[in-house]
Amino acid sequence: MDVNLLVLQLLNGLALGVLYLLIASGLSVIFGMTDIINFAHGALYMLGAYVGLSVIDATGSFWLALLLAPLSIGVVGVFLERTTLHRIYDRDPLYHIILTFGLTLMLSDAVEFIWGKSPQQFPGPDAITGAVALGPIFYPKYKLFLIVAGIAVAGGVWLLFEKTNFGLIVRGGAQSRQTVRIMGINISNYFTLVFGLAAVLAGVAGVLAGPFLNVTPTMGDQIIITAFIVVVVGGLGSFRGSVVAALLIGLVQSLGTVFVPQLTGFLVYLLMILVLLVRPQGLLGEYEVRSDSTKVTFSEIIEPVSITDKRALGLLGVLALVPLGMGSLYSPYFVGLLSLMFIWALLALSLDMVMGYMGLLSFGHAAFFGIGAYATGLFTMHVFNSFVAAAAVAIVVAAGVAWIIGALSIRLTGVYFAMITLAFAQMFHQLALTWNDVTGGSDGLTGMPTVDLFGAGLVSLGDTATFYYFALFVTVAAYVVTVKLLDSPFGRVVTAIRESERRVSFLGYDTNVYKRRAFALSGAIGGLAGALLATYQTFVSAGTLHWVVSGDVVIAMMFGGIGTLFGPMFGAGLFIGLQEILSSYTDQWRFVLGLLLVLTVMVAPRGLITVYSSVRDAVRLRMGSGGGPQRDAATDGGENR
Amino acid sequence: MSTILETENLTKRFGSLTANGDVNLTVESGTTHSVIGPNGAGKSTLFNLITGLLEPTSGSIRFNGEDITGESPHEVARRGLARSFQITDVFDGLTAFENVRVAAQFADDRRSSMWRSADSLTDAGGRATEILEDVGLADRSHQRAAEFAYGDRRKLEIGITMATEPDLLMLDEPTAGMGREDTISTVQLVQRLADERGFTLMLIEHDIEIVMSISDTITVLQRGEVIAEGTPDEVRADEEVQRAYLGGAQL
Amino acid sequence: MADNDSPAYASDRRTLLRTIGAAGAVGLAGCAGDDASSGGTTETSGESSGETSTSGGTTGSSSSETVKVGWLYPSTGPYGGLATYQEQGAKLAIKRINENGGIDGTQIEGFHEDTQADPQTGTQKARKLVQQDGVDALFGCISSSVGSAVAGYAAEENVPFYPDVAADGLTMENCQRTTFRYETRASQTAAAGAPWAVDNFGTKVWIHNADYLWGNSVASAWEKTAKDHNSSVEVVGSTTSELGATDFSSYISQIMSSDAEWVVTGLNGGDAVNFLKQSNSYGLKSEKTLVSPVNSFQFIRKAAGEAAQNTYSAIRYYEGFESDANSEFVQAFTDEYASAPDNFSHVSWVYMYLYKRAAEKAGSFATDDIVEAQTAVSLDGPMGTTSYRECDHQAARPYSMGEIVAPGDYDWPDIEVMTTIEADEATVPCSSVSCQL
Repeated sequence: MDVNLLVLQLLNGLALGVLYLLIASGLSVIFGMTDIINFAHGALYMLGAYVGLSVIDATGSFWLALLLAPLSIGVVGVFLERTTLHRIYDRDPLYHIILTFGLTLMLSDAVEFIWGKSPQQFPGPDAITGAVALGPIFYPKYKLFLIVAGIAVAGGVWLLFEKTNFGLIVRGGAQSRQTVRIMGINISNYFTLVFGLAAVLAGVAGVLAGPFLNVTPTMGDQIIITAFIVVVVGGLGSFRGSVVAALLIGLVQSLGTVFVPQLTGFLVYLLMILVLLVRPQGLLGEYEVRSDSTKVTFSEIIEPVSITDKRALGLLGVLALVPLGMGSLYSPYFVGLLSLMFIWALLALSLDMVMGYMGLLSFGHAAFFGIGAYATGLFTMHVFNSFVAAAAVAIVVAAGVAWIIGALSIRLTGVYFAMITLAFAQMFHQLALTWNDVTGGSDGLTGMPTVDLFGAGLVSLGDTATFYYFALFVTVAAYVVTVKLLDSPFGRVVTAIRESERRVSFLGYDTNVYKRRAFALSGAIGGLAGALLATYQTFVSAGTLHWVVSGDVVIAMMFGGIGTLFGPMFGAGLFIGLQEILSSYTDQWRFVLGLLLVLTVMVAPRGLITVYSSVRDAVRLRMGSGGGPQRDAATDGGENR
Repeated sequence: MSTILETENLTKRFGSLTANGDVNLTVESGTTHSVIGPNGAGKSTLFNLITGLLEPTSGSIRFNGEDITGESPHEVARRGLARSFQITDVFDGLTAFENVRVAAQFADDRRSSMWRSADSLTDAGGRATEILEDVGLADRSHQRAAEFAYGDRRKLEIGITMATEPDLLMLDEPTAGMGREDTISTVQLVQRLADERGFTLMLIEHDIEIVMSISDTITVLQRGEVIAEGTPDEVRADEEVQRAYLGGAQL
Repeated sequence: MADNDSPAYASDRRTLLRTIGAAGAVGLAGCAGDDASSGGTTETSGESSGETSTSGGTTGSSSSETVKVGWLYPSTGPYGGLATYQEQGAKLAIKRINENGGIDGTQIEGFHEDTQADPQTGTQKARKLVQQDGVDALFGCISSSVGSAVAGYAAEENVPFYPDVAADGLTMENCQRTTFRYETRASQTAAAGAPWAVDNFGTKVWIHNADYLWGNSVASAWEKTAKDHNSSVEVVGSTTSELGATDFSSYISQIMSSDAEWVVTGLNGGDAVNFLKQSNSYGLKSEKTLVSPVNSFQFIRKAAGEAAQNTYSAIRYYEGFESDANSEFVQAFTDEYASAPDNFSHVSWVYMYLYKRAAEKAGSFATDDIVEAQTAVSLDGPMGTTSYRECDHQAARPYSMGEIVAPGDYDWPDIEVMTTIEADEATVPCSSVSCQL
């Protein structure tokens, strides 16, 4: 290989790494201090670029932008932290993820509204435009500046942490909050400060990236996942780890495009999986993540509603009547939308089983959904057009993949499990995109037939009403089976694992066996949901495998009420329905959705199902029905811990 | 009297720190055996080594005559060795009944059956009810563990461990943080159960008075090493123990 | 302009209508291979025929007298910026047509949905438009994957679809009788650009593209066209980046270290802008000539600014193109939105008028009638006269290659046309299209 090219790529990797570093170090420091996985960090970075842009427009000075924009982002960060996160630090990390995800939706929509959707020109400083000769090669002056400036900022932050009292307290807080509290320090103020500081770093990254990358409302979405990977690879909460990992990943990406171009999309995920399997605490992770920081716990246990409950039966009765009104009361589209909602409900059910009942944070459920969909699509196209046969294959394949992923990652818990499942799912996504001959690549799997239920023309699922009833049946059946499963001896062990895995293993149970099996069962249901999706759409796209789908299900699950089985199903249905309907009325639908998420987390942490019961209780009290609110399956209130 | 647990030169090092060095310990079946020592003496590490939570650097552990060195916690548990933790570890989200039943269920061949209701394992259910009565929580069996007061959570944890029908029960500071009254009632409970059910009891305990009154044998650890082992009287009389551990004061 | 419903072909509109009306039956002969049995539905609007069209203009838009059209835009997601132009063009065209008497007196009612640039969402929205809103035709999309997914759905539902998608496959491999594409096929711009680039810049070329349908289409079309033109053409290197990639440094470095004379990029939207800006900072332009099928887009020229200057691009549309139809279109657009239209505005605009022509010719909005009539009409659009081929439902018109130069009439870089080829030259013969209608 050409030496010049190697030097160029090393510099490129360095520049990229520096950018990752500025973002990831903030994320890492926030996590170390508060256990919060700040999804909104990418949005803050993006906002930094836009504010910088406006400063340049107003003053013409890049340097002023580099000063003012990060400070403004710091203020925004402090504001966001104080109004939202600060009030819910004592909750599970899942809530923080959902909350910051909601904030991300709101921020990016607000930016789109104010600055527009088109990429914007971000003029760099005049003094450092163009390229400079470094021996035989030419390199952009700006990128050299980026490398130097980034390293300088990171160095400053390092000094701040290592050499000042502030840093001492922050590092102490990361090790043990209790110790810091005992020293008489109001640590919660430091949470705010750290969040603000991290926001400033994101702002710096935004302005520095401006002249070099595109300034678009989506620029944050792309970088946040890489930043997460950096944090995990480096070691959660470790600043030094972030530095090493950021540069490493920058170089891997840069050199990867030259040496193994066909693996470009896989490399970073492979790297993360490798690190998680070999050294889960990260390259330079100094301490284990607090186990309680990644636990799923509930203030109240809400039992799944029995299918024979009169409200459940009533709902099913209404749903059974829906297709009768098709064409007169509403369009087939409405019926189809309900079918789609069932499919998502099924996916949410599958996730709640492992997340709500076993406490495993799976951030890769899109994998099973997508695998089920592709398996069904390919099977009906190339083997036999029968849903029953295709779904059986889909279920087996999805369950098998889930078992393997489970077996590989089972000794990881919490955030680590979330990250490794994310990585696996993303690899499948990449595979679907690149394996053109089989999957149709980015074009998706087109040319799927209208699927018959049994095959050979027996019961076509192309008919809207037929599919509706079928999807309803499958969803209800899966729910009933899952409820039964969790009530079984096996299910009880699984639930106990959520509460304390250590305790369960000291009773003699090999918890890994249970976790693998539950994960495979969950994968099977996810695969079934995918099979239905492919049948409904007669089309499969790689998007089904994208992490956004995994994120959406997690959100839908929390939205409805995690750990109740029926709550997530409602949540998922509602989430999909809302998205669909809102997006028809306003371009700003993501803002509305984000706001709803934030409010749900703040006000009804056990999800929307508790809103229903709280309201009903309030009504009953007012009507003086006496005896106070009844406590039955779904009435447990939504107070936070 | 037979030996139920035996460690031979059991050693655990964390980097340059030796948490346990050449610990040789023998627990006789049917006795109450206490492990004492100042903070940081390696008591909990010893428990963690024996129960498989930590892997020893060297040395071996024999339980009921079989080598269990390096086995994982669930394997050790299956041999009839149960334990509690310094920080109570129960299933907070589950009811007291379910807490104990999950433990009792292990003895049933259908423990991981997926297609029947857990309620159909009547044996496990019956034993759970029985144990809850034994530990005095029968009237609150349908309350969630999270709602229990500290002492009751301890009792529940003891109930859970007992439900596995252990041969050896290891309790890590079972009365830590309890009031005097709770402490006494808990200790009495444990001893009564040990007598009734015939298991061997091994505990880490800080309350010297209690240790002296209930133990058949006491092992004293200091800086990870055994400095004395014997009956309460022998240990009380041991000069090294007095010097090193008790600061020369008379017991 | 009072009674002109379209600035584009107002003068000869009536003549055309009459001519085509007469020739209609003949024109249909080409479609004989199609399954005639499915065309026999009795649904006709029965409303009006081409001859009565000029009486319109005062029609009230009662529901029985509107035709519903469904537009799909990637409003959120990576193509949000392009979607705005697209939506503006569509809405303007609908407004203008309605103001001037609708389609033979029938007012157009537009329904607009956001595909989020995702094929699944796109199909779902198409479903909504067809099943709930009851639209008679579907338009739009931008990304190739959404376009081909919707094309499949539209064919299933038997609804005409006018995709704003440029990947070759849509009308070369997966033709549908309901799909009508005016948007330029990747190979058409390659035909305009590749031979000229070979003649002017040399035979050593580097190809870089985003790894997705359209990007790959561009790569293969340019390579093939260039090699067909001159057998000594050598692709000295080819690289692909992910769709939506932000950092192109490593590719730029590879290109700089190669002995390529020019580079063609299958990058669009933000990818194209990023590539231009980053190339500029490396000084790539002074070493290699940059050629693109789409950098002539106003959107890209605006966002890349100076970085786009002195590069070359095929031209699908640009606001400075000299034709009467275009100056009227630009005028109308500027009056409405106080800015100049982009390619996507122009495609939306042309689609509405092409649909209008077909509906007027068919005297009906029924799909089968529209499908029959669509290939029999032509339109004098902003970029020249255009009409659909029967074999693949691809429209063609003259195509140009140009250099992006310093700003002229507007704030952003202008375009100087270097060469223009005729529609026939740019479009592969029907015989080499793998799907036949």
